[in-house]
Order: sequence, then structure tokens, then C-alpha cells
Amino acid sequence: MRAAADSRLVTITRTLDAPRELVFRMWSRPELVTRWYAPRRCRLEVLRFDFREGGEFRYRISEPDGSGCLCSSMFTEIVAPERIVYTMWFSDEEGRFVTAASIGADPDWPDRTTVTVTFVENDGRTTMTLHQTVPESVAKRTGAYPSWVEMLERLSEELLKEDRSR
Amino acid sequence: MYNHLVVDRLSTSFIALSDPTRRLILERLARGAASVNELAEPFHISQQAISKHLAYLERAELIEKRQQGRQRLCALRPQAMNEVVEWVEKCRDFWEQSFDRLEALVKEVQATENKSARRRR
Repeated sequence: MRAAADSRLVTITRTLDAPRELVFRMWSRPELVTRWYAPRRCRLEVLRFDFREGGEFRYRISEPDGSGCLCSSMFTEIVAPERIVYTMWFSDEEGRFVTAASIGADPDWPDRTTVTVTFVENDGRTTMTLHQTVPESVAKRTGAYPSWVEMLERLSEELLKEDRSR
Repeated sequence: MYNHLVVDRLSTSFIALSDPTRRLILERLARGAASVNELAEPFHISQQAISKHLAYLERAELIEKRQQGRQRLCALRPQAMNEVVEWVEKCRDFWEQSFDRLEALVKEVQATENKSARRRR
């Protein structure tokens, strides 16, 4: 998993005051997923939820301004209640991969990205960690580039500091 | 979920950032503008090779070249970098906000289950 680790785009960790089994359940049942899997401002419709390896999770997310997208995911690894791995892409109504160009976006986008969620329980509390990789084709074209996001953040912070001191 | 308009520039930025020499050039430029010669010096590679790297960075609009007296200097352009950072922030924000809801839902389900467990007793 070295390559995936190097192309990490987003890492989010959250510790919840609940046993792991319950936190895992939030990810594994459509009636529960519907209630949280998008920011509150968005409208989320779960169109398909087949929670098993190779199963599909298809949904539509709409922003308040009317924009939105249809996304599909395939679960590639499910180890209850420890770990869920799935690949996401933009899709048509049937869940088929669509290029960004066909929905009016840049042809380089979208791409498949992989999301890995792990659940670790400690003293009745559960730490949930999510990694999302950079889009696959970007990763392929650019190779492994550890921590460039951190580097950029550091640089832009430095630049902001400089701006302020001027 | 994603801002499609900035993505074209983003993928150009990603490619520009994929090379360690180019990242070192950016780090060097974060300390101030520099001439091509100055940039080439620490790398022990030809000025031609450096120019090629600079072209990538320029295309991604991560740097710009400007004339200062008789010298041409390279300088950082924070705008494109901020776009990359903002985009990552947006993805992160999407998850953080969703997780806030997940956390609230966990509490709700726990409360319901405790209540029905008490009722059963």
C-alpha cells in the first residue's frame, strides 16, 4: 500500500465516544448512511447501497445552489468492524464511470479516488481514520510524491505570513 | 463537492509538483526571488535542465519570471498554490462536516438503544 500512502490527499481522524461496532454500523446501513454522508447543507439521495465486497454504493449530492453530482463507489474491502475500502468516481444514472468532460467539467477530472476508513476501539471509544488518495490518473502521471500537500500548505502559510508583515 | 473550474489548473500544478527538484526550487523561491543561475547552482545540473523545470512551474503558474534591471528573476506566485491548498481544504471540509453529522447520529442511536434496553429490563 506504499503508493497509496504516498498519494494521500486527505487524512481525517475523529474519536467518537462509542464502541467500534456502532460506529461501523453508521457506514454499513443505507438508512443510517443517508443521514450523515454529506455536509448538512447538501441534499443526499442514496440510490444504491450494496454493502459487500464488489458491491456498489451510488448516490447523488446536490448543493444548495442546484449544482451537484452523481457518484458511484465500489467496496473493495470490508472487514467488520475494522476497515472499509472503496473506490469512488463520478457516474451516470446506471453507476457507469463518466468522464468529467461529459458533465461539463475538465477532461482530466474526475478520476477514481480511493477512500480507506479504519476503526480502532480503545476504552469504549472509537478512533475513525479516513484517507482519500489523489485521483488515480493524476497519481499515475505524477508518480509518488510524499507529502507535497504538507509542503504546499507550509509554503502558502509562509507566504501569507510574509504578506501580512509587509 | 469539487470545484471543476480550478481543476484544470490543479492537474497542471500536481504534475509540476511531482518532481523533487521542482519542489526544492519552490522551497528556495519561498525565501525570495532568484535568477536561473542562482537556482541552478545547488543542483549540479545544467542551466538547460533547470530551465526545463522552470518551464513546468511557469506553465502551472506556480512561478513567474520578471525582469529586474539586467537580470531575469524567478519568483513564486502564491495564487496557484493557494488554489491547490484550498481544493484539499474543500475535500477535508466535506468529510469534517459529514463526520459532525455522523457523530450526532451515533449519539442519537445510542440514546435510543439505551432507552429500549431500559424498557426491556
